[in-house]
Amino acid sequence: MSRPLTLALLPIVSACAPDLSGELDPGPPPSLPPGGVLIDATSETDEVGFDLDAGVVVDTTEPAWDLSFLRYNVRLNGGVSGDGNVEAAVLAGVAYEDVVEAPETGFATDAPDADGDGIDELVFAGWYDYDLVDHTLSPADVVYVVRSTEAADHKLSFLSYYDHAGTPAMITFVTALLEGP
Amino acid sequence: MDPPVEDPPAVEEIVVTGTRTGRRLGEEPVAVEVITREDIERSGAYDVAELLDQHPGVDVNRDVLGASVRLRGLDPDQTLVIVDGQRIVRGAGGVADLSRIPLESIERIEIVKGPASALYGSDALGGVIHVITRPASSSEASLQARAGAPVSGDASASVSAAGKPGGIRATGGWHASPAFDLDPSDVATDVDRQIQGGGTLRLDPDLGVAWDMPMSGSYTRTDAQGVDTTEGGAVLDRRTLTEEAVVTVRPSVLPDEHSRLSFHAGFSLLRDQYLSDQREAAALDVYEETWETLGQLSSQYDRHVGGMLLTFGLEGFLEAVRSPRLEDGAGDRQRGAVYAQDEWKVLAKPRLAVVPGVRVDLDSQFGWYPAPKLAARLDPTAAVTLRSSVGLGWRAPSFRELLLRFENPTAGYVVLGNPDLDPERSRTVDAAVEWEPARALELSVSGWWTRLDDLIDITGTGDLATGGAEFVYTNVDEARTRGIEATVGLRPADPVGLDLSYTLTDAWNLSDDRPLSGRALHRGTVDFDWTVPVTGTRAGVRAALVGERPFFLDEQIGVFGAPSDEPTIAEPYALVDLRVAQRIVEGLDLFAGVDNLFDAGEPDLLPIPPRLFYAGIDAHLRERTKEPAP
Repeated sequence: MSRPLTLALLPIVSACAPDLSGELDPGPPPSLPPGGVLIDATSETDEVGFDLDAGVVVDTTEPAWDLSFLRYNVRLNGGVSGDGNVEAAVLAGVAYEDVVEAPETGFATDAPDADGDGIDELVFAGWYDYDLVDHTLSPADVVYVVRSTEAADHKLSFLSYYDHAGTPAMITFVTALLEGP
Repeated sequence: MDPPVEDPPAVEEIVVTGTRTGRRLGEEPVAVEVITREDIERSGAYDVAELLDQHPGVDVNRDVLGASVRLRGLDPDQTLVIVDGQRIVRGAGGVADLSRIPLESIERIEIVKGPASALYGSDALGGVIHVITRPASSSEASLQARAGAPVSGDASASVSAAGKPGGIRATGGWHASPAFDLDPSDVATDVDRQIQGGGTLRLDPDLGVAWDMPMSGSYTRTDAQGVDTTEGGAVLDRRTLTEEAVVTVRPSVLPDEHSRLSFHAGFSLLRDQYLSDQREAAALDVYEETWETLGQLSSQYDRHVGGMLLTFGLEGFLEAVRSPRLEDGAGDRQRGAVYAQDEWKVLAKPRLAVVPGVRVDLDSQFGWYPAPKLAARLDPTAAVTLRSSVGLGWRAPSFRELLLRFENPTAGYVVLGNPDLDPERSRTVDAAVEWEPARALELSVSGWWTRLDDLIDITGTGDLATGGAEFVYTNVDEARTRGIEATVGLRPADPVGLDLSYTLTDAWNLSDDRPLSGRALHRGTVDFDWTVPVTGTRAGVRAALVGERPFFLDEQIGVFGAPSDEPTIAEPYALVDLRVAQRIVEGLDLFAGVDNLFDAGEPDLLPIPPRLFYAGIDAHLRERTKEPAP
């Protein structure tokens, strides 16, 4: 019974109201902060790689990637996450501008789960603070120094998990090459 | 000799919802509350939700999914809403949105509180709201228009003609109300801008004394627009465009003076377009189109045998939905049912009636489900009526609960439907005393106790690979509601009427050992009407007084997590409407009023339109009829 009646009523319904699917406005392209990098990590399934040495987004199937992003998860190309021997040091309580050289110690890479929670011990696990009330992520007060696949040291500081339009997982950060000791 | 099946005379008010058989109001074995066309017109209500919000014991719940009702503290999806016997299609949100029913098409609304699954099947745990549309039994025309501030407007018209071949009625309406922002600190709106339009065509062919065959077709379009914001600061322009087309044919015949055979064939088609357009970006843009169809076929045979009115019925439903929010993008279900009822007049004096009934449904999703009920009415004196009933109710899991796949990347969670869900179940006992000590005074007190099992809730199943959480619908919760409702109706003089009610609702979540979210323990209503026949003036006050309401944020839409121990308390509020109408000449009235006099409402827990002033015109043209011979 349903199909003939559906077909009979269909012209009434579809003739009366406009189709809204064409009304989506894409808006302007996302804007980048000065000297910053924007990573579109909105995919739920596909990691996005970034090559700090070249300053470009790369596929994580290529060996040059240093960092990978999947939503708010950030991995290094080293240890349990990759074969690129990338490692990083976490500098807490210092300003990004004040970091002018890499620390001599404190470098680590992603390691397998050690505390039994089923989650790997990632160097970038603490890059954000989570607001339990608002369910928002904001960058933690830390600066990372990443030793890349080409053994170059880059400082990195996250700016936001959201872009100018409030889109989550549109991650922005600033990064710069540090001179060797 | 068997008494004849009652062929309802037009001059007396007939109710059909309590027993699915026509009964004169006041004689029904199961209590039915009626909101008449006159009540609707003098209320000044702008939609069904506002009309019901000031009715005793009816709690209107408003959220982004629409306006729905709670009866006896139960959830909105545990109350059945039907229009001329046809179930309302619930749509993508799973809620019977009352704002989709245009007021101008309504003849009356019948409300039955308490479980009615023994007659109606799924959803009738808290009760039944039955909207009955205007018949085409007279020749008349009416026009109503009003304008309000903040800027809003309504216009509706209804024309009917009745003659030898039968009657025809055409009704159309247009309603517009602006968006409201109850929290100026953000750009989000709290009440949507809404434009609704539609029309109904009804035919009542004259097929002779024994036959009756009302037919109707309607189309309604509701365009709601608002602005949402996300926690991350995104601004989303949201628009929901809902269209609903319904056709019904309801033939009935009196094969002999003792029996009636009636049928119902109805088909509903709902198209829902949801658009969410992110400002300055497209990453959060969403367009979803949902189609839902419902075919309903039923037949019922009523027969008087001795002091009994026996009812046998068959009913079948075909439902299908197509929505991108469902796991496979589509779903369908079929349900068949058989029911039987016996309205047994055990004693004539004192009058005693007993009504046992049972219904068994077979659903393609979860199999058999039976629902019995036993109701009784005793009139120990002409002024006193005692009623009591015990019965089971149930609610079939919705498409959303069975088949949903909803991902919220912003908050990082996924909610999944569960095809193995069982129906929600209820057991209810209630009793009532009605006393009419004088013609000018009516008193009633009723009480109920309901136990709810297998309530469907969202529970966490673990973490996703991306670090977000996964939730799934499961039959986990238990709850209990109980309460007392008292009403007083006072008619000290013909032009003055006063109705008061108080409802105590104790609704408890047994699983989490805390109150059910959003229910007020205390609720009262006032309905005062005063007519001055000499001047043709009519004034009225309608009010709902609602006590504190505890809200547990983990039960709110879009918020998931562990049960919160401390509720957020919504302050008491008074929803007061005033209205004055002045007759200019016979058939022409001017009216003015104010809705929500005290400007109740707040963004999160009471998102209702703020104070609204309005004025308008009401014109009626009726065919003169001969006065009946004395």
